[in-house]
Amino acid sequence: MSSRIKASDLMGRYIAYAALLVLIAFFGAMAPSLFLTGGNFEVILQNSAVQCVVAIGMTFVILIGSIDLSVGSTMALVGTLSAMASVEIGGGAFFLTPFIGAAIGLVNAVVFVYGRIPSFVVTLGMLSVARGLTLIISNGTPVPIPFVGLFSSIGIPPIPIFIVVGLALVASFVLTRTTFGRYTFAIGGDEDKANVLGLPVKQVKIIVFTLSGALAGLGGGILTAQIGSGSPTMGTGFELTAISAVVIGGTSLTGGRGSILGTIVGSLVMSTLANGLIILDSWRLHRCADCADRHRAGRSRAAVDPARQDPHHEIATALLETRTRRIQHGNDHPDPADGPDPDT
Amino acid sequence: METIIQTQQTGPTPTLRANPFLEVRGLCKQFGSIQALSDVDLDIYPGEVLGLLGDNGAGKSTFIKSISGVYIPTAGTIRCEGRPVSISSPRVARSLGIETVFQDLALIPNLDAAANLFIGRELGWGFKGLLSVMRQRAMAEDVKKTLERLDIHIPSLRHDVEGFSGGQRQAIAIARAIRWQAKLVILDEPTAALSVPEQRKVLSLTRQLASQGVAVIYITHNILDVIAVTDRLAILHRGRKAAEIATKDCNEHEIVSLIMGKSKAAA
Repeated sequence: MSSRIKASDLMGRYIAYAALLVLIAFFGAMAPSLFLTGGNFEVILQNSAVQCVVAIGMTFVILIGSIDLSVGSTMALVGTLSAMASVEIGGGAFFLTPFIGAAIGLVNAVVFVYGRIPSFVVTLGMLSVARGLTLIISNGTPVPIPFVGLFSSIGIPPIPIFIVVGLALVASFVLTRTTFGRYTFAIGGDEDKANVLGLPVKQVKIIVFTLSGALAGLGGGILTAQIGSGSPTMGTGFELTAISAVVIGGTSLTGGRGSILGTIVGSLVMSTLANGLIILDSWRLHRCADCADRHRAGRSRAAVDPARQDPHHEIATALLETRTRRIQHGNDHPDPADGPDPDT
Repeated sequence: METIIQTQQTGPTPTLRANPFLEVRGLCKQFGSIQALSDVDLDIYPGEVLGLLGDNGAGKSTFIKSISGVYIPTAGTIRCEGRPVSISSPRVARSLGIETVFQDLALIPNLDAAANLFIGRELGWGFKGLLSVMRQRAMAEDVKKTLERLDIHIPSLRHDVEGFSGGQRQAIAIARAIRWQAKLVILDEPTAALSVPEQRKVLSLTRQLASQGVAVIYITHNILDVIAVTDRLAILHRGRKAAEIATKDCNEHEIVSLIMGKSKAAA
């Protein structure tokens, strides 16, 4: 009986790892020269960094059987506030981001724990409140940060990746080796029993929501550094991205089971998928242009034989012309093969 | 109103009766307009298994929850080893040496046996409280020794208790109470969902506890268990103590009629 439970457990726990390998193999086979490069893997990691940071906090929240829907708005509010602060106090404003986020998380926590309101409702409220505040303080326009300096250099690869690696190691240690981590699992497993056993359920919940807020704030700070401004619309829908990463990583939505490594892998699955699909698209265009090159040679024959003027040929020719024009305008790589068509 | 039958109190042996571990006087617990317990007096002695009996809703669970810190009594006093105490939380109860094995066992399903034995009292390094780093190897060793000493066999300490059988879970829950050197162990229907060999195991564990000088409160509906394991009986009826009697002084028919709220003589 227990072995069957274990089998389904393993399935849930490790499916993300398998999915990541399958995705890398698939995209690697389809577009090796574009996908399987060090630069591209760095792009994938860089693109998933903010998601990883926020999802690490979300992992704790989901492990205790709750949910935090306010992370996206928290990112925007903290991003905007820190961008405004950077004008006054310089790049050090970045280091305020986890603290501002923690304050927002603490508000969630207190209303959730002492108001006895479901976390779904509390954080849904905070989602609107934080977004609204962001729009008010920013007047609806992005707040730029200085183009060079400490703040914007945080967004330069591989610093966000280092932040994620460090955070993941610390969070994993806390979750598996400290009493706080054990109680997090215990509350997710059975909150009533945790209470009967006299565990500090309230304190753990408050810390978990504050932590989620702090990491959402840090994520907002990194995103601001990456895009160069605190935008009031940034992080819209990010709560779903973070929850997806956590759940794909094998953490149970009902709480009590999951891991930080799983969340990181879940996050990488999502960004690898997005990256791979974009690469496949450009790879297809690339190949299409190549095939247009070949078709161009047969074009004079096509003019004689109208049956050969199939739509595919038309598209290929159009693409080729665009490419030729772009190259000519750019005036680089003059390639005799891309020269003007004798027929046009 | 029921007539309260105060049967003559005949404890197990005079030596054991000398100093009760817990003296409960006039314990009342009210939930809204419902009087779940009224004026219950009970002494609990070390080395004695006290059977707490009563029909459903008689107040057995309310009583044990009141002395284990889950409920706060509405009125009444509790003295522990002669000192008046206020058992305001499960933590306080445990610090007094009162361990409860609840009917639902209070095991966390998604944690393994070792984690459950130490839950809330993990061995750790560094900071106290939530930031303490757990000494997992030391805890695993300790659990192994505890279970060996009690002759309890479970498939693996690393498996979550979710996959354990009823008897294995019960054994873990009792082992937890014993591990922490309890002075009073409360067992709430410990044999309810067990197979016959598992029931025997629990009964022998219970006697083993008493022989080590631990006070035991044993709640059950099973009259055969009562005869087999208890020294003394306290019978609750509609929130009041209907009788207190030595087990050897009565037979099963008398016990049943007392539970039903009739007098011993009526049986």
